[in-house]
Amino acid sequence: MAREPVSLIQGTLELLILETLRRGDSMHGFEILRWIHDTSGSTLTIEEGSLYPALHRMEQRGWIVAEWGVSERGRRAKYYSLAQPGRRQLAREERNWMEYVSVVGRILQAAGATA
Amino acid sequence: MIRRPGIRPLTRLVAGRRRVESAVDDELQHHLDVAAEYWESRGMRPADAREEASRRFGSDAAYRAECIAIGHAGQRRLTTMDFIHSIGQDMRFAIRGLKRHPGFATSVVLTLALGIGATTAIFTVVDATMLRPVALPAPHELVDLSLRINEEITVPSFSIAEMRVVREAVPARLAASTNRSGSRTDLSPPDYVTVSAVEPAMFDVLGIAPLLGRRFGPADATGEQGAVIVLSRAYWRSAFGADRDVVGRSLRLDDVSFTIIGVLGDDANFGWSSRSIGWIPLRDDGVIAGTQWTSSRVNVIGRLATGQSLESGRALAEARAAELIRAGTLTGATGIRVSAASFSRQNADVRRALWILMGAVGCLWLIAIVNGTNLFLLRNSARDAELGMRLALGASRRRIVRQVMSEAFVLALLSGIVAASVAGAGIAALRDLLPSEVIAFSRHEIEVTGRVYAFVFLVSTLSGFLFGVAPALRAVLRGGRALSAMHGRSTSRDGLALRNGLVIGEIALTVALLVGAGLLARSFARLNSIDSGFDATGVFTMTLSLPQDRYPTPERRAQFRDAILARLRGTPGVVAATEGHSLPTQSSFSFGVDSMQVDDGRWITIRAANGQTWLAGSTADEQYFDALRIPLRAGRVFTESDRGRGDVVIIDAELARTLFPTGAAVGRQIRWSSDGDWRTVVGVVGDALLLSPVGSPDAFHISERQVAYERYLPPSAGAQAYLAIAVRMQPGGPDARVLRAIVADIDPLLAVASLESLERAYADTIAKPRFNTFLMVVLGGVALLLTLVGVYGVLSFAVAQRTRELGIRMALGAQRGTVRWSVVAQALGLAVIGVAIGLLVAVWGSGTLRTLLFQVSTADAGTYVSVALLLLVTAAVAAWVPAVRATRVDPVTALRSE
Repeated sequence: MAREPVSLIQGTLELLILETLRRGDSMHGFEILRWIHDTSGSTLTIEEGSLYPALHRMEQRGWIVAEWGVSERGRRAKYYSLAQPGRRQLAREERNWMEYVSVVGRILQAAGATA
Repeated sequence: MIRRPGIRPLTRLVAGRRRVESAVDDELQHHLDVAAEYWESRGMRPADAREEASRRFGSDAAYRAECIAIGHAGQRRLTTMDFIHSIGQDMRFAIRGLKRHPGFATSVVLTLALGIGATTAIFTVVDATMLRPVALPAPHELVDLSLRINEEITVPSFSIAEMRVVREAVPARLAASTNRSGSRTDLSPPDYVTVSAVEPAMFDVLGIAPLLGRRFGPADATGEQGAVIVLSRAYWRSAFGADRDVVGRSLRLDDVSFTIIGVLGDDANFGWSSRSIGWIPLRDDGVIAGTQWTSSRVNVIGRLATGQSLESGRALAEARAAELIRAGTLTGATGIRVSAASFSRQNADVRRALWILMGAVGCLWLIAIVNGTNLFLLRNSARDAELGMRLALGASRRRIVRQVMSEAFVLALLSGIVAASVAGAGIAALRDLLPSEVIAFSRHEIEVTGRVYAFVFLVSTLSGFLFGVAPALRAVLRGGRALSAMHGRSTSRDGLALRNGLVIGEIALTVALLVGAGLLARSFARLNSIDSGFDATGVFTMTLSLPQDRYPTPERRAQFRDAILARLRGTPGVVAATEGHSLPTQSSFSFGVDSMQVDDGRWITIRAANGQTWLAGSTADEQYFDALRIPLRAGRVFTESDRGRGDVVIIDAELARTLFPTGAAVGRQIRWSSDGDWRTVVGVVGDALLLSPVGSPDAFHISERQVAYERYLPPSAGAQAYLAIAVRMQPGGPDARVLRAIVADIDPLLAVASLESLERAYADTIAKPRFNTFLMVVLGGVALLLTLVGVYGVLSFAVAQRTRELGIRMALGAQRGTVRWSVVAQALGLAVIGVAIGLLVAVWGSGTLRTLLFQVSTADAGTYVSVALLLLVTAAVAAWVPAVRATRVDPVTALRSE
C-alpha cells in the first residue's frame, strides 16, 4: 500500500542534509536529494529547489564546504561535504530532535490514553 | 531552465556580484540537467523528463533569487570580516613582488619620500604657527586689556596703581605679567636671558598646569621662602637637557638665586612668553617675590566668566571704567579696552609666506608623484604580458587592480616611513633656518607631533592612491589586449601618451616653481646689493643691559660706559669703539616724519612719493663714524665737549640735499617738530642704512622700500641701562672674545646680551627673504632634478620601444645625428608644451608673491625667459643619453628582437 507523502517540518531539511553528508562522500545537490528521498523510503517529498538556499546558508555558516568539481559525466558541478562545525551542529540537532520527538511522542501517547 | 532576467542589472557589472550569480545559475542548471537525465533513465521521454525535473524543482526564479541573496550577503560579510586579512595578504604579496625589483622600489620610495618629507616639514611649521589651536582651555574667554590714554593712544600696559583700579572695573579674572631681562650669573660666562614675572593667578587664568613640579604656592607668591621659578619647556630642554630631576635645583639671575619648582607645559608657549626662560611670581604691588626687583608697568590678561560674551564683558568694563574716571579713581586715562587675546601676533605676510611655501612643497609633492607614476608605468609595461596572461586565465580585474594598488600603497607607506623617520632631523635643521619672527610667534613649539605623523600617514595614503590609480587603470585596460601583450613586446602607444602627459605636467609644475624661486632670488640679489653706506667688515657689536640694582643712576651707568670704552680704545688691534644708541640693524630709534622746519621758518616736505618716510639715526660719539666708516662730507663730527648738548645735529647727505638744495647745510638750523628745539647742523655725513633695508623691523612686507633719513645727536652725559657698543677691529686683530673678557674684567656678573659681527647681523636683517628664497630655490632645484629623471625615464623607454624602427633606419643608412636629433626633438616637443603651460600657470600664480618681492616685478621677463630656457636645456640633457643609445642600436639585433 502506498504511504501518504509526509511534508517536511521547517528546519528539518538542514538536519537531513547534515545526516546525509555524514557518510563522508562529497555530493552534489541532486545526489543529496536522491539520498534523502531513497533512505526515507520515498515518503519525504520536498520541492527540490528549496534544497539550494538551505545548502548555501549552511555553507555560509561553515557547516558544510563546497567545491566545484567535474562529475562522472564530465560536467562542472558543485560538491558539498561536511565540515567540523557541521559535525558538531549535527550532534546538537540530533539531540534536540530526539528530545523533541520523545516529548511530542509522550504528549501524543498521553492524549491517546485519555481519548 | 533557468531564465535570466531580460535586462541585466547594473550590479552584474561588478565582478564579485557577477561571480555569485553565475555560480548559482551553473549549479541550478546542473541540477536540472542531472535530474532530467535521471528521469530519462527511469524511462521517461526526454521532453517529459525535463518537464518532470522542472516541476519537482519548483519555482526556479525564487530559489535562484534566494541563493543569490545569500551569496551576496555572505560576500559582504566576507568583505568586512576578511578585509584586514586580505589587505595584509595583498601587502605581503606586493612586498614580495617589490623585493624582486629593489632598484625600482628604491627609486620610487626615495622620490616619494622627498615629496612627502618636504611637504611634512613645511606642514610642521604651518601647523605649529597657524593651524593647531592654542592649547589652552576655552581660549575664546581670554582677553587682553589695554589702557586708552586719549583718542589716539592706547597702551598695552598699566601702572601698578592703574592695575588696582582695573581689577575693580573688569568683570574677569585677571593676571598681570611683565618681562625682565638679566644675566644668568651661575653660568660662566654669564648668559643673557629674559624671564616673565607673572601673578600666581596666571596659571588659573590661562588654565595651565605644570609639566613637572608645581605651580606657585602662597609662600612663593609672597617671597617669604626665597625666589622661585617655573621653567619654560623650551628652556628646560635647551639649558637642562630635559632633565626630570631639575626640580629643586636653582639658578641665579643677576644677584638672586631662584629655586626651580617646576616646568611649564607646551601650552605656555605663545606670544609674549615664547622667548622667556620661565615664570617667576609677581606680587600685586609690582615687586617680584623674593627679590628687590620692582616692575612699574604690567601687561594684563584676563579670562571672562564662562558664558559671558566678549561684547558684554567689554561693555561692562567700559561702563565701569567711565564711572571710575568720573569718580576720579582712574586718572590720566579715558578708558579701558578689552579685546580678544592675541596669542600669535604674526602678521598677514608671515602667514602668506608660509602658505606660499606650503603651495610650493605641494607642487614638489605632485612632481614626485608624477615621477613615481611614470616609473610605475614603465615597470608595469614590462609585465603587460604577465598581467594579460593572468586576466586571460580568469583573474578578475578587481584582483589585478587590487594588486597594483597594493603595490602603490606599500611603496607610498614605505616612503612615508622614510619621510617620518628623518622628519625630526629635518625639522631641527629647518628650525635653525626659520626667521625669528616665525619662531617667536608660533603658538607651539615647532616639532614633530602626533599630528605631524597623522599628516605623513594621510599624505602617504593619498600619494599611494594618486600614484597607483593610473597604473592600475592601465593594467585593466591592457587586459583587453591581453593576447597581443603575450607576444612579449608591446607597442603600447596608449601608455606612451599617458606618460607623455605626465611628463608635460611635471615640466609645467617645475616651471611654475622655478619662476617663483627665480623671482625671489632676483629680489634677494637686489636686497643684497644695496649699498648700506657703512662698512660692516671687521665690526663687532655687543649689547649690555645694566641691572638696576647695581647701576641705579645715569651717572653710575655713564661711569661704566666710559670705563668700557676707554678699555676698548686702549686695546691693541681696536681701531675705534663707540657706544651708539642705535647701531645699524638695531632700528630702535626711528619715527615717521612728513616735514621738517629750517631756520628761515619754512616747513619742507620730506615725505617720499610712495610709502612711509622715517627719521632714523643714533647718538654718535666721537668715534661713531670711524667705527662704522661712514664718511664725513662736511663740517665736523661730535667731540667729547658736545656730550649732552641739545642744540647740535649731524645729518646725512640726502637730508642735507633735501632741506638745503642750494646752499651748505653746515651752520644752518633745523627742527622736526613745531615744539622741538632748534639744532644747528655741525656736520654732514654719507648716507647710511641704519634701518634694515627691508623696512620696519616687524614687517615681513618688503614690496616698497621705506625711505629713511638719518640724523645723529650727541650722546647724553648720563647713560641708559641698555648699551649698544660697536668695535672696529684691525684685520687680523684680536678675536671678538677679547670683548667678553674686557666686560668680565670690569663687571664679572654682567652678561653680554649679544655679541655678533655686524656683517652677520646685517645679513640677518634680510633673513626672512633669505629663508623664503633659500627654500624656494632648493624646492625648485629638486623639482628640476626630478624632471630631469622623469624626462630621461620616458625617453629611455621610448627609445627601447623604437629599437626596431631605429635599427631599420640605421640599416638604411640614416645619419647618427639625424637619429639622435629625432630623440632629442621628442623631448623638446614635450618640454615646449610643458614650459608653455607652466609659464601660464606662473603668470597666473606669481601675483601671490608680490608682497615678498623687493624691486622686482612679478612679470619680470628675464626670470621667465631664463626658466623657460633652463627647462628646455634640461629636457635636451635628459634626452641625450637615450639619444646616444639609440644610435648604438645594432640593426641585426634590432631586427632579431622581433
